[in-house]
Amino acid sequence: MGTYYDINNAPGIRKKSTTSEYYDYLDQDEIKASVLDFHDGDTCRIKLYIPSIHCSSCIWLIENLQHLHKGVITSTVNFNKREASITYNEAQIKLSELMNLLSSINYKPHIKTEEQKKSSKKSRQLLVKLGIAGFVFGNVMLLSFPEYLSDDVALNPELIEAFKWISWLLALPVMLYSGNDYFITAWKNLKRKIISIDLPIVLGIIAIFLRSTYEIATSSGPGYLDSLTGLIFFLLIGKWYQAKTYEALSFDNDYSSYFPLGITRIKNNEEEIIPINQLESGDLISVRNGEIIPADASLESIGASIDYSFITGESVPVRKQKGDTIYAGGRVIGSALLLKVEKKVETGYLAELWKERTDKKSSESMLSLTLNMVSKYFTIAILIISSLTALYWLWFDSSKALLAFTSVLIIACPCALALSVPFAFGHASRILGKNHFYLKLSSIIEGLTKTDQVVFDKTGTLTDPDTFKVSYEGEELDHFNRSIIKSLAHQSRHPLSRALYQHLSDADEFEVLDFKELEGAGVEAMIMNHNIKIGSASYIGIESKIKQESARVYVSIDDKAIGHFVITNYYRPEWKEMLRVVQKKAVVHLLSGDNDAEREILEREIANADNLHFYQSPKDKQAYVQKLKDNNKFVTMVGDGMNDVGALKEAHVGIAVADDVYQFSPSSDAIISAKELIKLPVFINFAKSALRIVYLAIGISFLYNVVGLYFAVTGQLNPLFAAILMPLSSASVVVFTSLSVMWSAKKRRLL
Amino acid sequence: MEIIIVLVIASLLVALLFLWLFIWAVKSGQYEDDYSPSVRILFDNHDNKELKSNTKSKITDEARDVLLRQ
Repeated sequence: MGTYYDINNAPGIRKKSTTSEYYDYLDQDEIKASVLDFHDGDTCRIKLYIPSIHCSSCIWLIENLQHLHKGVITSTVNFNKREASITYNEAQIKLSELMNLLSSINYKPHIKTEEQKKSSKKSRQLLVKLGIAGFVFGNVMLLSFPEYLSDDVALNPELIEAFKWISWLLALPVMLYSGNDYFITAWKNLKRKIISIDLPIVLGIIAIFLRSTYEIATSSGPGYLDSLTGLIFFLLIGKWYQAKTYEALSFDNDYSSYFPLGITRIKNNEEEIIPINQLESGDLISVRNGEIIPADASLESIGASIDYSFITGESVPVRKQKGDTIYAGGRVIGSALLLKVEKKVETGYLAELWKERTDKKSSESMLSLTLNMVSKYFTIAILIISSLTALYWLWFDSSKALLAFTSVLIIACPCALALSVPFAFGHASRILGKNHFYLKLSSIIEGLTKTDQVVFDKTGTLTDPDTFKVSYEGEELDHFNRSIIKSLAHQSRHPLSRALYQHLSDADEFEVLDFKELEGAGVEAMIMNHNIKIGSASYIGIESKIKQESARVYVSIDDKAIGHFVITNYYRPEWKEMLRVVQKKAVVHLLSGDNDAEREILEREIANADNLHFYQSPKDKQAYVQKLKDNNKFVTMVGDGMNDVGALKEAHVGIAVADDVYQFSPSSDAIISAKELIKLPVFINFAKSALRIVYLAIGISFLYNVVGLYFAVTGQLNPLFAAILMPLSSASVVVFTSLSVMWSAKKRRLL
Repeated sequence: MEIIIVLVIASLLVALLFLWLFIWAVKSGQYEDDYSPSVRILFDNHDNKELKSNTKSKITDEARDVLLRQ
């Protein structure tokens, strides 16, 4: 065991109070078959997503699982994906036991979602394409070498001829396989009547290839095959650089990834576990403490506490009575509940919320808006210039017309232009990733720069969902009373009780007798011969004048009410400073699913009090963002929970705030670690300078194009010149963007 | 001089072999995780025979109990 500590200096992770999970549903044959990778007799293999893998010692521990349980045969970790591939013997360890084993050593496993399963295939393909292009580029360069020698050292012309044909054969797979993405996207965009950067690239590639083939076939010239393969190689490098993805993060969770796979159904007084999609309305189901309610249902148990923080952002659990409707997505607190399903999973409130936004980002495939604007005019200009050139030469010297026409297309091929965005944004998004701000696509940087409206969610975004501020109103509490309240609070799992327990940390603890908990109302017990109750106002028998009472905990000792605790949210450190800086550049809006108890505090921080809204349902939030968008505003939404899903998807840029970025977060364009939220204004400024760098890079590549075009239009372009100019322009753009993005990050202390 | 064409073809074949090796490496997933293999090589107890002699890096029964009790 000593090795665990030898491998890494600080291997342990913070132990978290995770809600218990039940895995017994995984032993159902039907569910098991859907999650296992491989199954033969007793030998099974499964890939599990384990977000808490974070260091070399984790790898060691998980790869030594067979010493913890002899049913495990082997396990292998993929660190980048936070994934463990485990082979085990079913006769000795059941899947549910394996999951519990991992949970018990604090590596809580998740069954992989569909989206996670199908990743990585694309990046492999890109690498193969890149490898082929690089291989061909190198060889074609060598084979073209004799062409560049002067006549007195030149080789036998027949050899040169053979070299040319070998180069031509080599270039074929680069054209047809490595470069095929450009042809496909250019064609798709053309069909949708969009002119993208891919179009001039494709025109250039085709022009080079046809012209080279013609020259080689007629022995009239050496062709430009070295330029062609180099061009595709550089373009693919840019693509590969930009395609850096955070495989371990998932940006596209939908509601189903939050739900359990199997549900306990009660039929004819017997419990059975069924897959979630077989749930019918009218079914009786049992949901245990910490589990998520999978479908809209009515309560059959007497009372319940439901934690809706997932859906509404409300930090305090809601009390429900028998017969009340409980929406899917609520988490059960306390003892197991009996529920009657009213709507199937796919038609529930949560699923509807998700479905509403479907067709949003159809432009997602595009690299960047700016680049598309530029390339649209660029393409038109190039087509005009090349046709004018052709016409001019047709008039004066028709033998040169074809040459000049193709030369313009070749030299104008916007390789450097196409590389500017991938390198600038790719580099910038890596730097942001190092600062725990992860972008789904690097083009989101451009969205950030346009932002003029920032909408914040309050609960969980500006406040820390795990910490509460507790104050007390009523009769003064002495140490003894504080101690008995603490003793009672310790017995309950309710979040408010936990907050109270933390608040009273300096008090003592006594023995608790006759502990009783009424779900969704309060708790009582005998402590040191006093009968003590804490809970809602009605539970301890007083009338409350305040409408919103859920954040208050009333206390009575020996049936005499003595006062109440007010439990409020705890704001993240430096949130005021962050809001102040953001408001210099953009209008800030604040939406809260909570009550307006904190209106005064917030009004002081927000420039325009009209932008402050309380009691916002998830749909209200979405509608609010929609309204801003309709007024031609560019909206960035910052939110954390499922309650913000609609708004996050609706906004131009949706940023999910997560305390642990590897845990599930709602679908969004970017994920920011809660600790780094304070840096959001810096990130936005950094994005703006990245965009400025792109403009400069576009300028540089235009300069090269103008020089090249001069030679092309006058019909003087020779292969050597093209072979030097094209890589030179690409290389200088790459170096310029990388260095200046780095410098800009250093200046802002992001590196 | 014609021998050069043979040399070029031979060198191309060697290069193709390496290209094939690269593609094989990509397809077999060797570029997917660039971190754990570098750490895994330092674990000295993958071989079961070695385990018996090297008690230091074995999870002892005692340690297993501690770990599972957490």
